[in-house]
Order: sequence, then structure tokens, then C-alpha cells
Amino acid sequence: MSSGILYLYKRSVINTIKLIFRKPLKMFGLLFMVVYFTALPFMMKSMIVQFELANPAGFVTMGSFVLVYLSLPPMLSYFKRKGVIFRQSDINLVFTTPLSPKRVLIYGMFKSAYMSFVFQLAIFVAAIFIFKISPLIVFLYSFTDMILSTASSYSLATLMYASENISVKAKNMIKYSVYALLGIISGAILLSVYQNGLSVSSIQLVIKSPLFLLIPFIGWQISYMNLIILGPTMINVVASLLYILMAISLFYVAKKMKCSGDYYEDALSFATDYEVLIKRNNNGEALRFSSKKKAIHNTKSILQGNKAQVIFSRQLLTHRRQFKFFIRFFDIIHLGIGFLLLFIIHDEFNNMDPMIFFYTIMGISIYLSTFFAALNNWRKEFDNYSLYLIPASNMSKLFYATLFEHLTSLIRAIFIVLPLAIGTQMPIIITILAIIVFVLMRAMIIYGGILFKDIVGNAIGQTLASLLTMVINMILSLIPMGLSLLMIVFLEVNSTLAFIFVVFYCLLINWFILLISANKLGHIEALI
Amino acid sequence: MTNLILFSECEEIYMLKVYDLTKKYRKVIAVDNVSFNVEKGSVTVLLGPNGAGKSTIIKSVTGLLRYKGSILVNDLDNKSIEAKKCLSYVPEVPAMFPLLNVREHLIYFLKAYEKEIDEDKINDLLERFDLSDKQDKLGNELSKGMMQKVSICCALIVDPELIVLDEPMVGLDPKAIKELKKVVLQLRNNNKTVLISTHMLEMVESLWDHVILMNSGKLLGNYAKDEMGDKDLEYLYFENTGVDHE
Repeated sequence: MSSGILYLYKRSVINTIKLIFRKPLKMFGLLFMVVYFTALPFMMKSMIVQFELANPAGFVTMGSFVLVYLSLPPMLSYFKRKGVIFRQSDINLVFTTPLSPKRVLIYGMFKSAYMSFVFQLAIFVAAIFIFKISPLIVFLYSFTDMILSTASSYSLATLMYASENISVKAKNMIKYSVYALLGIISGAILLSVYQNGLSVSSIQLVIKSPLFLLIPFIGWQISYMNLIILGPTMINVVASLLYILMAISLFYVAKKMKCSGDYYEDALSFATDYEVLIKRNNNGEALRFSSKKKAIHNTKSILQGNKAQVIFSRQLLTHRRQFKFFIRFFDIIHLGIGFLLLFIIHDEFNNMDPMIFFYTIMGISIYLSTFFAALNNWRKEFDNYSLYLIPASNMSKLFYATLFEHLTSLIRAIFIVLPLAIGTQMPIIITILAIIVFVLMRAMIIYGGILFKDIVGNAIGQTLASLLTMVINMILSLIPMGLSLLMIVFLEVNSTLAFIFVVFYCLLINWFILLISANKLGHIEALI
Repeated sequence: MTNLILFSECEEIYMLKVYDLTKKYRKVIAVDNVSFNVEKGSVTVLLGPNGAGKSTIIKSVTGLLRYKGSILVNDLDNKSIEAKKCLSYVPEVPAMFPLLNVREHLIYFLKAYEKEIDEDKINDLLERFDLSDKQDKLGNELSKGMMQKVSICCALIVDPELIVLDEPMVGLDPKAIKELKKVVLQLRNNNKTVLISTHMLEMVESLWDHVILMNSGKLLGNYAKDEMGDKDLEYLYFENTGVDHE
């Protein structure tokens, strides 16, 4: 590897460590992530034990699954000259320097190697403590497979990504062959499950069959795991030898392959798209690669309202120009959820307790708000210098910047609540309260996210901030549920009154978080 | 025989040779069959309005794009490692390694070009571009103007035979522009070759030896300052591009 690239790695690691020490909370977040991934197998232990997989054979079964379904598909992305992340800095400062394009590619692939290191570490720990494999064997497997799989996968990736001789037709043929292979393996597993019942042994029947173990590359790699972990058989010895031979051959071919850097242009275009994507991700927008340009619809609307109201008015206008219909596909899905709920509880149409109805809606609101992020249009507004020049209070600016999201919540709340309310003939007051609470709970999670993730997160690091936001939002959402239940069950308060209490609680919390957040958002640097 | 010798001698005066360069982005022809040479030890300006194809030529020269035609740097294929050792590049949009500080960027470049680490030279460049007090700042802590200065320092530190600058003045403060102009003239005096792509006429008026005029991907003309008499860049630009002066 070039001394420049080695220097780049070395200094990046040193400066990362320095940065971590400068911000101890970030270090805590990083450590938490490493511990979390390492402990992940322990969290899944009961499931592993339940399926009788907590033994070396179970390790091989799960390992085979990971190799087939998690390692193979990413390989295909190399054909499209994707999958290796080059940033604009790499284009400017690495591509134009006197480095061979193959070395540049290996540099690109190595940048994400730390993820596989954490993954390997998790597997290492799980193999010893959950799957009860001897540490010596685990070490032998991890060490040798790391060399073999790195050599084979990096060489294969180099051949697919950087080759200037493999035609598009040939690449497509290989790509479709791999898809077909995945389809055949999945089909065989499904057939085995259909014939022998849903059990681990049904799956093992397929992944331990000689035919499967002799499939080039993936089968050979799994055979090698079988050989080291479970011991030799005629098939796995032969397939393992083929695996070693393949790793050496691929390495040789990749080393000899001619590469003048044809892929630089695709990497350049990918880097440009990626920078846009990262910026959008930092702004909390959905991540999606799209080369299609959106059509702009002609609307005759004009901006209405004064001061901070124009923020909302502009968002409405933009929405009308971007989309033909006000209601979007994702909103319609909420109508589907409403009918699904109706279908699930159809046996209890006539005797559904308003309490169960109300808490079900609250639960759905918390679930959807936690796992499906809001549009975050407010962030785009606060990244715009002109917002700070509007002569209005920060609180009203933040409120109007998020109002569109509340409007969306209202539509979704109506879609979810109405089918259920009509189907169960719920009193109108309960239905209205449920809709209001759905919107307010979602607003609480949106404002909580603004305060803890976007504002506090800048100081403590995004990883820890995301975790903190999730915990605090969960607490804030569960408190009214718990309190209202206490009121109904122990204090025998009328349930409608308890629900009105929930509404007021949510309003108060929203106002409070809005107030604190708005105070922090007085200048554009608050979000940097 | 005499012709051959003359041809060979003639060829050696060029640091960069571009033959029949054509670049298409899908159906759009960005550069259409362009050929030109850049003399060793000269300052050549690639001039044209937005969308003329200047940046595409620069990116092709630096080996970032696929193209039809041939580009030779110091008589070597521009994509070869040997050619890249002769060339350094200041991109239009600067971007830094987020986890390397300013000084480390320069050391990285010296190492990438397999040159000795010369602390005095690093200090001198940092001083010239007002970066001495920013040398410990990480790449992601720099403003766009600072990044541009660091990009220029990175390109200069390796002492290249050919330096390619794509809109280098954009984002620079007046002192840095003045310093860059001084550096360009010094490079020329040291027989280094400079290729600058720009549309800022007044910025390069005092620098150019040759100007290559482009519009809509086509080469409009290639002029030497010596042959132009009292005609300045502004005159050449508006005369050739047909852009309305008023």
C-alpha cells in the first residue's frame, strides 16, 4: 500500500482518538455501539436456545445463512460500480495523485473494513460463549477465514468493479446467475420446510447437502466453515481446497488485471450523489438514490399569512407544486392500517371498551412516530438564512415550520381512527380525543427529536443523541398512559376525563419542549 | 531526416498534448473533437463561458473521466502513474479529508508523490497563504475559502511539472488571489507549466502566455500573447465567443 494512504489511515485513526477524548460523550456513544453489537448475540440467546441452535452445528447453520443472504448480494453492487464509498475528498486528493487505480479501490473498500471487524468480533464472542465452540477452533477459523475471505472477496470486488475488459453483457449474466442461485437456494429451503415442517433440521437438510456445499464461491466458503468447526468430511475437504485455490487464483488474476482507472468517472458521479445524500441525511430527510427529476406542477396559489405564517404557507405551496395530490401514498397506508385494525378486532365490534380503543390509538401513534421519522421540513427552514430575518418569535417560527407535519399527522390520525371508530360505534367525543392525542403524541416525538437529537445532539454526538431521544420520548409518551390508567383504575375517574387529562398533558409537554427548543434556535449555528 | 529531427525537437516543447478529445455525457457532447498543446514553462488559460467544456477538459486531463482521443502529459499517457507524478490539480470544488489537519494534508501529498518531507517548504507555503495559525485545524473545520487555499498548497508542495487549476480564484480572499498570481508567475519563471481554467478575465489578464478559447464544447481559437499585440483577453473573449459585451 502507498505510504500516502498509510499515512492517511494512521493520522485519521490518531485524530479520531483525539476527537473522542475531546468529546467524552462521543466516546461513550461509540463504546456503547461496540458493546451493543458484541452483546447482540446474547440478546438473541433465548431464541437461539429455543431453536436448538446453541451448538457448533447451529453456528454453522446461522453462519451459512449470513454468508448466503448478507454477504452475497452486496457483491452485486460492485458490478454497477456502487458499493465502494468514495467521497469528494477522495476524488480530489486520492484519484489525481500517482496511485494505481487498483490501490485506490482497495483504499475505498478498506474504509468500511471496521464494520466487518466489529461484526467479526461479535461472531467471535458468540461462537465461544453461545455456540460453545473451543476458543482455539474459533481463533483458527476467524484468522484463516479472514485471510481467505478478504483475499477472495476483495479480489472479486476489484475484478467486478475495476475491470475494463468484462463486457456489460457478461456482467449482467453473472449478476442474473447470482440472483438465480439465490432464488434456487431459497426455493430449496422453502421446499424442504414445506415437506418436512418448519424446523431448523429442514433448513439444515439443504445447507448441509453435498450439492449446496459444492456451489462455487459461496458453497466452498461454507464448506470451509464446516471443515474447521465440525470436522472433515470428504465433501467439505474437497470444497475447502477449492475455496483456498479460488482465493489464490482470484488474488492472482486481480493483481494481473489491467486497470487504468475507467471507474473513476462512475466513482466521481457516485461521490457527487453521495455528498448530496449525506447532506440530506444530516437534515433528517429520507435516504434514496434517484436520478429522476421531479416534475413541477403549475399552481396559481399565492403565499398567504404574515410573519412566521409564511413559512407554513410556503411549505404548502411547495407541496402543491411537487405533488399532484395533497394526500400521499404513505397517508393512504394509514387508512390501510385503520382497516387492518378493524379486521383484527371484528369479533369485538359491539363491546369494545373506549379505554382499549384509546390506548390502542396512543400505542400506534408512539410506534409509528418512533420507527417512521417525520418529514423534518422544519430543519430545511432553519438551515435557511432568511428564516432568521423574519420579524417573529423563535417559538412561532418553529411552530409554523412544523405545522405542515402536524397537518400530515392529522390526516393520518383520521385515516387510522375513523374506520375503527365507525366499526366499533365509538362515541364521537372519544373518537375526537383519540385523533387529537394521535397528533399531539406525534408532535411530542417531533419536538423531542428537535431538542434532544438536533440541538443537544450537536454537543454529545448523534449516536448517543439518538439513543437519548428514543429513551426520553418513550418516557414522555408512557407517562400520560400510566397516569391516566391510574386515574381510571385507582381513582375511578371517568375515562373521558382521564383522556382529556392526556390531551392537556401532551399540550403542556409540547409547549414546554417547543419553548426550550425555540430558545436554542435563535441563530443558524445552533444546528451546525 | 532533418524533418524528423525538427519534428522531434518541436514535440518536446510541449508539456501537455490533447488530441481529438471528445467527451459525451449520454447524448450531450460536452467536448467536441478538441486538440491543443500546452508549451512547457508557459501559463495557458482555458477560457470560455459557463458550459463551454473547460472543466470537462480539466477533468479529462487529470484522468478523472473516460473520453475519446488522446492526452499526453510530458509525452506519457495521462492515466499512467508516471504522468501523474508530473501533474497536480486544484479542483473547482475543494474538499478535504475530514480527519486530517491542514499540515497533515501537505505531508500526505508529499508521501503520495513519494517526495521528501520538507518542513521548511511546508511552513513557507502555509505562511504565504495565511494558513500557519490554521495548520492544526481538521479538514471538516475549514471554510470553503480555507479549503481552496489548502488545495492550492497541496498542489504546489509536490513541485509538479504541470499544475492544473480549475477556477482557482473562486472563494479566495484578495491577499490569497495576489499570492496565487505571484506563485503562478514564479512557477513560469522556474520553467513549470500552468494550465488555468477560468471565466474571470481580469484575474488572469496579467498571467497568460497562451489562451485557449472554448464555447459549447468546441475550440474557438488558440492564441499566444506575443502575437496579439495590444489585444487583451477581454477583446479576444468577446470577439470569439460572440457573447454580447454590452
